[in-house]
Amino acid sequence: MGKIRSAIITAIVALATLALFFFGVVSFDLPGNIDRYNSILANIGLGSELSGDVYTVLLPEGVISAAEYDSAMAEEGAVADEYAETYVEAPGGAYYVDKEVLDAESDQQQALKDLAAKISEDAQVLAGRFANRNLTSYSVGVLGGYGIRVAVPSGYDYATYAGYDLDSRSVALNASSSIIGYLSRGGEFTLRNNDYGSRDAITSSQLADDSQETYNILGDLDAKDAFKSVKYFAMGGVYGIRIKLTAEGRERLSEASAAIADTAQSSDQTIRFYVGEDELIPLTCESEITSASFDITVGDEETARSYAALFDSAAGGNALNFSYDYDDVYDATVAGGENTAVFLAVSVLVLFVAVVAFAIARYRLLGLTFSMTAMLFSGVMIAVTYLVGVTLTATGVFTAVLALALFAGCNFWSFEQIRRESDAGRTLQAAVKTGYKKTFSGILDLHVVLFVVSVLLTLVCRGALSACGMILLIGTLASYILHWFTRFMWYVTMSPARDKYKFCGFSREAFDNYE
Amino acid sequence: MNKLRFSSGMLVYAIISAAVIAAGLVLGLVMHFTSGAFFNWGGEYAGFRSIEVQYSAFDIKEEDVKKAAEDAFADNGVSYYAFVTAGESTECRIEYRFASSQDAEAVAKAAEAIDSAVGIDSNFTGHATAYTELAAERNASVDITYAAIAVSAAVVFQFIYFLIRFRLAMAAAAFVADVHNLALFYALLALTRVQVTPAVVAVSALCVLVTMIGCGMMFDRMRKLFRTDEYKAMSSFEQADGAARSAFPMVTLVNAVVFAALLLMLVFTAIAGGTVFGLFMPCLGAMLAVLASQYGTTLFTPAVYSRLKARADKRAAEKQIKYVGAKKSAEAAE
Repeated sequence: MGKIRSAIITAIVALATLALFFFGVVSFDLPGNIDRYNSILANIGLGSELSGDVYTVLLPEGVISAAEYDSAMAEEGAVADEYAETYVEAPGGAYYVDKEVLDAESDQQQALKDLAAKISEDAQVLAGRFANRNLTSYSVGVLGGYGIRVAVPSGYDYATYAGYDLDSRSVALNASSSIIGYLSRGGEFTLRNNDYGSRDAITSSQLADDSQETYNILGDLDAKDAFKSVKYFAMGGVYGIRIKLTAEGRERLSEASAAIADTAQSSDQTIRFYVGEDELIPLTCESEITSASFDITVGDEETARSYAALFDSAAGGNALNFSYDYDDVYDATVAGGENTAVFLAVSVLVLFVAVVAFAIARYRLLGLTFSMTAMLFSGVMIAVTYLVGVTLTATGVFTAVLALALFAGCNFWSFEQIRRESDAGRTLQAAVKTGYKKTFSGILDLHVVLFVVSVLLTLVCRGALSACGMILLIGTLASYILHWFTRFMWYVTMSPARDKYKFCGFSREAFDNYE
Repeated sequence: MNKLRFSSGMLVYAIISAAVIAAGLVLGLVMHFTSGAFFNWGGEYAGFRSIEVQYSAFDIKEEDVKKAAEDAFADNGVSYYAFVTAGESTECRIEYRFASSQDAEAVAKAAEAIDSAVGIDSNFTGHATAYTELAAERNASVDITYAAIAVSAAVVFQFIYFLIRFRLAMAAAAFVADVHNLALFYALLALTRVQVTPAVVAVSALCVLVTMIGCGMMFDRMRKLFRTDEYKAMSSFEQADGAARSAFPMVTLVNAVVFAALLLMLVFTAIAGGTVFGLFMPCLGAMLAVLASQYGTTLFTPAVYSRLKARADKRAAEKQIKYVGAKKSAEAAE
């Protein structure tokens, strides 16, 4: 390759790499303080270890916190008297329970124990729902016996977490709050219609509230006998839930949907999906549903995932014993220290610099060429992780480091093999050819194994491990492609060099001896 | 080139591995029967005690709340392992988390002391509540099951792939390496009582991945070397030793890069905050995984492989003798 062509290609690749790396990693204020450029890295969604989580305490009806009780008592007068009259202190002292909630016929202490046991059962159901929601982390626990503390990742990217993007902060907070809101819905899963079906407790409640009456279209058939599963699906940018019916459910829904679709029998052509007393999805029914499963499309991925987790649990007979309320959701700082994400990024950067320094020290200008492709590798990893929408957790960062080790290891393996060939007296051209040939199968084997493992991790696992699988998948593909790109760039950058052995930091025994 | 004889230490490696695994198993079982936890489960699985302080930023500063809390903890002899802050203006909160081993009564007394410092006793509107128990409902077995399914599928795939690409003995040795390293990793977790959090469960995949990278590099080197006449003339043990010696620097380099990265993360995240709870345990778990993998891949696996190869060679030789013998007999009969 000629000097000019080599210089042009090197300049183009170096500029593109620097630009990708710069915009991938560096955030900065734009002139005039009008706005701010947040790097691609700063826009990747972070897990709870890096950006904290959003939590709230769910309280069943009739249970209040000690803080609320104490605050009322501090007011004195009628309010204090009312609270003192209405509530009884729960064991542990963290909550107060409305006496009306407790079973009047049993001993008060026993009633409190029974209430705590039911709340504990609900916490287990909630844990199942959050586990099915495919979150990178979550936490569900009974707090002080009578409240359920639930926490989900805040979903902030670094720009949002650090306060550079306040709009995204409220969007992410709403999304986290909505997940908690959906999954903590109490009551049974029913399919309803305004005209067709049989009366049940919800109908009575609607009558009492003077609201629109609805009827249970599955009649006396329990949800767990009618539904096999409710799963999330995504296809070509369309998100939704896939509902699978049992033979009995299929028969009953077929009969009901035929009646609802017939305008002569029902004025309401909608199948309404209820959990408890809340209508969540209205499904327009224009014809009889005869298949064993059917899909409902939902506006966005997050809502579809929440519906799937909620419906799957409630349709499986895991309804909550109580309806839960919560005042507010709180976005908490990171338990490992507020600046964990920054320091983690700095440590990865230090490691990257160490790898680059090693490469340059050992392979001279070839090390510089490797550094350029390593920078490109990092930029590609950051950009693709952002584009795919993977949430970056601490284990995800470990996996990215593993991918960097794979990329560096494979290149150094080839370089060492070439050094051996060169030491044995081959010309550099022959040594490169033989060296890459000798390491080809090993490197291919490694990447094939890691590619399949990453696909398995992504598809089989959930949450953080699935995210790690995706990062490994990106890393493995990038590592293999850029391994060969490194060879190409080696060829390009080395072409104008007079002493090609010196360029690589290699020596040639035969040539040295000859000299 | 080092002169290590990896294959000759089979007995030593087997004893070390068996001792570590047995010790982990015994300690885990003892802890299981005494405190109900084979591993030292983290807060997400085992729960924790907590004190939540609510206060208004208009009333009192966060630093003053923290100082009151620190004083209360010191007076009552309790220590928290993590804290988070949340909310803003009139709805500020600080949650202190205590291990379940901390005395519930002392935690409650500390909360009372904080309450008197931030509440109406001090003319403020704050409140401190002690939650003597948070019974976590997150099921570790579900997380471990999913991780186990994925890791098992990966290990089986690796076995099949190595069987096709390399030889049965190499595939078997890689399989043994995966299982051995994973067992060693879990034994080390039980022994060191590193808190097992969901991130640490995810790290078990890292253990297998690093092992796979190491085995891939080593067996590729072996396959190449076995083609040379010099190696063909050697015994299985010498062959395995030579190849292991040759692959040792690269395998060690990969593990060293990952280990150094973890160490750096540990140091930097320790600087990042007053508490390193968030990343300390995953980093420590991952470092154990890399150590288990380095030991298992570079020392134990060549020793296992050399024996498997010796048996395979012996069987092949017997087959050859049998075949040649049968051929000679047939010729004689003719």
